[in-house]
Amino acid sequence: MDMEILQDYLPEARELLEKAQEDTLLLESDPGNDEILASVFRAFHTLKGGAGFLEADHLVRWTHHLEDLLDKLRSHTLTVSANMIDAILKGLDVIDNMLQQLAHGEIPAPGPVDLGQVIQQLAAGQTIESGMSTPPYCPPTDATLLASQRTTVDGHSGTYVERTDVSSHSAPGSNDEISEAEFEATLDSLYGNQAPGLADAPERFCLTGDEISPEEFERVLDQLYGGQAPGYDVLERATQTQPASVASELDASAFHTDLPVQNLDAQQSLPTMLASIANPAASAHAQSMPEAADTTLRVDALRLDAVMNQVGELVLLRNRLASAVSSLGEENEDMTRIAREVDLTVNDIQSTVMRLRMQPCKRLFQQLPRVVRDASRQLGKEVKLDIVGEEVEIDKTVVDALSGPMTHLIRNSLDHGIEPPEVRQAGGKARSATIRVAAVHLGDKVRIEVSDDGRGIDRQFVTQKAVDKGVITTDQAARLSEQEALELIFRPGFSTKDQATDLSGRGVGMDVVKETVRKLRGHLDIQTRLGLGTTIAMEFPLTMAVLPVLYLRLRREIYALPISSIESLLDIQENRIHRMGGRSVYRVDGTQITPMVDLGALLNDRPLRLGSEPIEGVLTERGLFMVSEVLGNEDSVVKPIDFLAEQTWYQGATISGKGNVVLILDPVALIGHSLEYSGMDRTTLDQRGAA
Amino acid sequence: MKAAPIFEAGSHRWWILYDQDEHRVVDSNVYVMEANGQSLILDPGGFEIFPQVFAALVEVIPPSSLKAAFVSHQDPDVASSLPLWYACNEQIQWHTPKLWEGFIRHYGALEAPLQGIPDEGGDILIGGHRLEFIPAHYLHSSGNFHVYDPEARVLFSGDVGAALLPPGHGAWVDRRDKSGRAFEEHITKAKYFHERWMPSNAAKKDWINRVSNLEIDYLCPQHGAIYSGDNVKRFLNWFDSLDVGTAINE
Amino acid sequence: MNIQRIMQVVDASFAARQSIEKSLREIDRRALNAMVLVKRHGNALAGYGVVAQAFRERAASLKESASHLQETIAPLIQAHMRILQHQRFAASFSTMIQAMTHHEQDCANLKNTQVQHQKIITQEETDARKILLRLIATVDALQEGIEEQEYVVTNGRIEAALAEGTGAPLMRVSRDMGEAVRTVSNAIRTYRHQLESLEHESSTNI
Repeated sequence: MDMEILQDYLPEARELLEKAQEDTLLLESDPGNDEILASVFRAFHTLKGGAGFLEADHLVRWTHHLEDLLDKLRSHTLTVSANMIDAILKGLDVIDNMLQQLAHGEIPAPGPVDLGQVIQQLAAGQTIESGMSTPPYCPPTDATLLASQRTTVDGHSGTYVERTDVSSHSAPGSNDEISEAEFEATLDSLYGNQAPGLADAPERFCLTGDEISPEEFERVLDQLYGGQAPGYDVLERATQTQPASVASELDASAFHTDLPVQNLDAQQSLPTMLASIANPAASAHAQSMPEAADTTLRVDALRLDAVMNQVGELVLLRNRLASAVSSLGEENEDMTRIAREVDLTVNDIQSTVMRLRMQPCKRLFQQLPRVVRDASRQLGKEVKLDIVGEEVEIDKTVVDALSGPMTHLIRNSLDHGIEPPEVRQAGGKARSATIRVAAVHLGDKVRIEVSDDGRGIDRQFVTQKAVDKGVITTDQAARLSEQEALELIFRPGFSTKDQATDLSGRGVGMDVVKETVRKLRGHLDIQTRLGLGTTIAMEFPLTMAVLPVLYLRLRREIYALPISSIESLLDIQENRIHRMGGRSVYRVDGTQITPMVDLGALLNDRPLRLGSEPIEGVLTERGLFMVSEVLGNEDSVVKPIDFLAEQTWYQGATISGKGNVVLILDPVALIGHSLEYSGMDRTTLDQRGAA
Repeated sequence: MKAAPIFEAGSHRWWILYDQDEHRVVDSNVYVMEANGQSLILDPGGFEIFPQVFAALVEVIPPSSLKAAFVSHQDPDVASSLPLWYACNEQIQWHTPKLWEGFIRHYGALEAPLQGIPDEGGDILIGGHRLEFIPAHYLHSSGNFHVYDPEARVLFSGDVGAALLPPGHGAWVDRRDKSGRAFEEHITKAKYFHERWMPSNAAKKDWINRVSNLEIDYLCPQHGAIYSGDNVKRFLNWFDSLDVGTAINE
Repeated sequence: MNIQRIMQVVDASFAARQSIEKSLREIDRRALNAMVLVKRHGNALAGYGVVAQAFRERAASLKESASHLQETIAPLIQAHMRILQHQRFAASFSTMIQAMTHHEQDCANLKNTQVQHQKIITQEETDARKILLRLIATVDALQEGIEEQEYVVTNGRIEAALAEGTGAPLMRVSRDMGEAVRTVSNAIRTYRHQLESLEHESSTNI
């Protein structure tokens, strides 16, 4: 298998797959839409083509069945049915599975026989009854429209356009050039004599796929040469090699991963051409938005990560420079100015690189309609999915990591939250429930919400379950606030369903969601109203690249807190400290009372003594931290730490401007811990009073 | 001289003023206790070092808060600054051993309000906190008192615990040293002082019995450095086993 | 000079220092609060970020100036206490001389010593006056720093008005900053008046 081709194929294939799934779901409500039908068809078509390059025969065969079915639908030989949609969706799952095998470097195993047969039977339509047991197998080579300048074996020469595959570049002895013989040999080895469709299948099923119309031919030529005379020279200039096969040259540069950034100045139009030739879907795309292909580059994520890390180092160096220069005092104005300019430039680089990593939430949301469809069918529930804010952008890491948790949240909502239609109706609600998924941009954060209008979460029920399952003791249960009771669902080993369901009741899930959010430096919040619905909101920093932190001193040690979690800094006043239910709370103002955490007690095992030593308050969303002194802020870079046992209190470490390693505290974890802890130890404040 | 905090709990505080700049007179510590805007100065020091004591004092308290002064015994390093303090603030109440009243008047300021402390001791209220005058007769003066603050667990111990330290010394016998080595090293500078200035083993025994009943976090001598935490116990043990009054014992 | 007058100034110094230190801490906290607010709004409040940073830097340099204040107050107090010491000596010699005169004796040495002490006192008073002038100059520097800080606050108000659309409570933050600066400003002004009147007395004394 050619790894370079594979690396290019996989992401494209996944995108195609996602698009196909989205389209297929649309087909369900709009079965006659030619545009969508064509789009799904093209997706399978392109998937197949790429699979051919990779010699993934089973994938080729599988996509071929689907392509075949879609072709019939596209040509209105058959009409879309619910069974077909099911089969296509399941077929997509099989492709997804095969892609995963490819990603692991394995040649995909055959798809499930029964589903394959169903698809083939569906594609065959009425002909099933006529006893035709073998499915039609069309000429499989129509993956790509290839233009080539060559002399064929039978002596003809000229520019050829054909639906075919070019050989893989891994052929031994080849550089970028592929000899005629190699090319043919590869084709043979791919499809050779086993291309049964050529001989056996009824030609009429395959006509549309196989034949290149004169119009298509012209279009390809136009794209190749821009309406001018055969552009031999253009291509020569572009590739600097002997064009034994123009097509393979083109593909070579398109697939050559060492050159992910094409020389755009020299050959502006080349990527467009390549895209449109190699991918008919993209060519159709290019007609509606001609600029997109010009301005978009596919860059290896690893390379982005590398840039990211280097910018991180740069940020740290910038901080050290700023610190060093500030200690010089005002005597050196030049240095001060240079440091300031470096500061600004690094800020710019940082935000540019940060934007490089941003991706629209659409990528995160597009899988959800399928999840809702499948789960609602399986559970016999009627659900409408509203998606808001697909265009909101967020760090790639979040998009990648959140896909699983999002699915879980949706399934959970469907399974536990949403009532069966009859129940809803009886309760005076609309039969059809609504799940709303929304992304909102809030300052330096993005908020992602999953809400439903289902039955809400019964706190007493949850508490009782937690006690039954031994997650908490009866004593602890009695002390829980309503919100804390609710948050029990995020405890490991908690599942409210007596019988684990296929969908969401395995007792793993919500804790994983919470942990994922935490790892992404996010923050999860749950709101529920009995009988009315539940909202789970997650907030993430806009970027994972830099972390603005606030440095604080706890006696002789320096710690950092993420600024995103901080509301404000306060002067602690003793008369605002109160005891409530065995816990210290602080009265921030007339309306806000918040839990209070003494970092001295927590981290030093020695409470800070008000009045005896300097104390300042840092108010976060979850509670107030008592520290010795707040020192200042800095844009920092997180270095993960893995050597700490009580890691949960820290988000990582950073290097301060002064060059010291500073631990970054996790405010939510600290507050959570201290709330549990304070239940057992009520003496903290009393000690302080006595001191 | 420098000021350093010893104890702080809200408005209830203790400070030490230490490491004097004038080296021709014996180096002395001055202590200040403040609570709720009232303050007490303990062994305010000699005439010669008054300007620096005063300047260091007003870094930590406003002079108008000074309500009382405590004089452990009659020595000039303890009380000869009395007339200068009196000039600054006539309202300061002077708590001195009753035995020494007439002698102390010799420093001047015949009108200054002196409150004689009887031999059995007594107490005083500063900003609502009660401090005790603990008898320490013959350690070294024949009429001698220490002051104990039960809330702060501070014992001002006059000449007991005194050490003669070189200029630039710290305020504490190393607080972080758990091994006791710092104490061992420090106590060598206290040994001769106690052997020679403390006249009576019986008085010493009496004092140790009395003081052993007190909870002491900080033992604050008029010369040298403060004993805190384990060093308090170490000192009491050391002093208990020390033979004093050596000028005639030998 | 009247020692009670000195005591008043010493008390005023203590109060001024406490008030300035407390207000500077408050200013620093306000500035940090503003910076946290700015950071939490991404790039939208970058303009205000510059102001908050400047505010904090000015607060740091005010802190620095305030520490010089303390360095100057201590010698002034020491000088006056030395004057008190020498007045005490002079007074006791004068008592002795009077007693001698009473016994119709005259001791030139004694008188000489008394004159010596008077000279020392005069010298000390001149020194104390110099220190006082230096202290007033330090207070002037502090006042200038405060004026710059007020200017920064005004800039902050402008930036806050410009950034009103973001919904961040910048106007309130700016108002708080202004308040904190005003507190310091008042404390310093009062203190300066006291030093000026002391300076006035000492110049008429000499």
